[in-house]
Amino acid sequence: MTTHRYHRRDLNADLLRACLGVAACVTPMFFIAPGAIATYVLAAPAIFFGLFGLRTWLHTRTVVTLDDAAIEMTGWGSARIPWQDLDTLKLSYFSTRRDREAGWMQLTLRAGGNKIALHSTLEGFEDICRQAFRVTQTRDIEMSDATARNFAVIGLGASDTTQHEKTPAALSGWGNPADWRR
Amino acid sequence: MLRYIALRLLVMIPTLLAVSAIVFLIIQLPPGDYLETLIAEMQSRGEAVDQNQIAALRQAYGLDNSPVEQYFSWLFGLLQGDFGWSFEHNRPVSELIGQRILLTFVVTFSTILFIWVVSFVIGTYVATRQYSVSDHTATLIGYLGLATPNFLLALVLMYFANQWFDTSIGGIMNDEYRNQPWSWGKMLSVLEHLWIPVIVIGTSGTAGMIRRLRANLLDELQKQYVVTARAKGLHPRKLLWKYPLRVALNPFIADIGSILPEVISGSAVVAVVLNLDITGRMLLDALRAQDMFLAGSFLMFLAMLVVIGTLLSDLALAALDPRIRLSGGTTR
Repeated sequence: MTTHRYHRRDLNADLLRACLGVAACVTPMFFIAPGAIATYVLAAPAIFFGLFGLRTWLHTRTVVTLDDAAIEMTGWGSARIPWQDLDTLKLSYFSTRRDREAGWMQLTLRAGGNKIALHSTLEGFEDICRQAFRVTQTRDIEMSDATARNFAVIGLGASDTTQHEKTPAALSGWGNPADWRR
Repeated sequence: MLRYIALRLLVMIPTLLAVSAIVFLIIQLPPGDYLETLIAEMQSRGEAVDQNQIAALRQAYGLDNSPVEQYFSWLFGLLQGDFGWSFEHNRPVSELIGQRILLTFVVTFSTILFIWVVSFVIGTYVATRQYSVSDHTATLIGYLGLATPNFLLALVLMYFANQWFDTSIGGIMNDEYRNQPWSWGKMLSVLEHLWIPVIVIGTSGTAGMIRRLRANLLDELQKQYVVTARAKGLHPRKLLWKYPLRVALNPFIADIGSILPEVISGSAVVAVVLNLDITGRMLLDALRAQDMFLAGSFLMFLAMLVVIGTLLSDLALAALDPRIRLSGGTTR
């Protein structure tokens, strides 16, 4: 059994970003007449940055426990997903840069009504991905084309990348060609 | 996704500040200011110029302050919802641009909808019938659409609209509704006149989008999974709709950000030709007359629209296609 936490440095950087966002939106509000349209225009992103800061702070208290039987997240949004119950998983990649570099990943696991979403800033994120990928292979869980490609890039299913390029449907959410019906 | 949105919003703040500085710099670039233009006009008409009155006006409008002071005063006013005073119209800018911005939004939104619907139908049709007569015909019409200047198309359509549909030439609504509050009749009048500017502004965008959709869809249709699906006997229409078309649609979403400035800048000349009460015409007049607060507010609004459009397009793309960039190529 292994335990994983979010890197403090990454969380601090995000907290700083959230504070900057709130400050940039709230500061002008002190100089605006109450009730002006600009107040509402600035309030919306200020609330959003506040929520982002809150979510980041909650990540400081999040602990993820991983073993062969299940994955469990404690802290805000606690959930436990036994691997045998895993229904769907999604590995997304986000980047704010035009060249799509320097981004981050998000692994979302779902089983029934339970959902666990983890960011790549989590310590040992790749170990969790490896375990989740192994489960998808043994239990034949479908995954989208984007998820399959993202797994391939972090070295999971990498040997299939070339073949994957040729027949994306085989690894995509579109299902196995053998199952396609007329 | 929350982090993605937060980071994109955070980037928007300095972007908009930089845009505001550039906008102010651009409207300050021509030599002189509005009052100097006014003096030159009065002198050319042989009218006497009262220097004391000019000095008083210069002080009242803050034109004797340094450009940096003027910029911060304008920016601070923008944040407070005070867009400044229009020298040309002698009215607050906010009063002038309110209705025009709404009409600009209606025209822009309708044009983008027109571009999407028309290019989706024609692009899909021609890609599935490559090198057929219809493909060549649509390609020819597409190139004509790309090559025809908007103002020329506007003039031609104005003539035919009057000849065939008895629609009054010019304007985005009948004259009796101008400067009137919104009503059902005014809305119908706008809808009746809307199709001409929408076709005129949207044609070049449609032509480009058809070419992009056709190329993307043809790429997808030639992939092995499509061949396999066909070999397995999957119905061609089901195969097309469920798989390759979805992938080929990404450029539609990705292009929202680039279509917006194209549509808005393309509408400026069309607005003059068609006598439309949208931002383009007033912006041109304001830039010509160096009506700095009016021009600056328009440009700032348009820049904001583009930044928001790009943000929405990127958010939609991130949600639909969250793929990592593979080495040696891009996934988009």
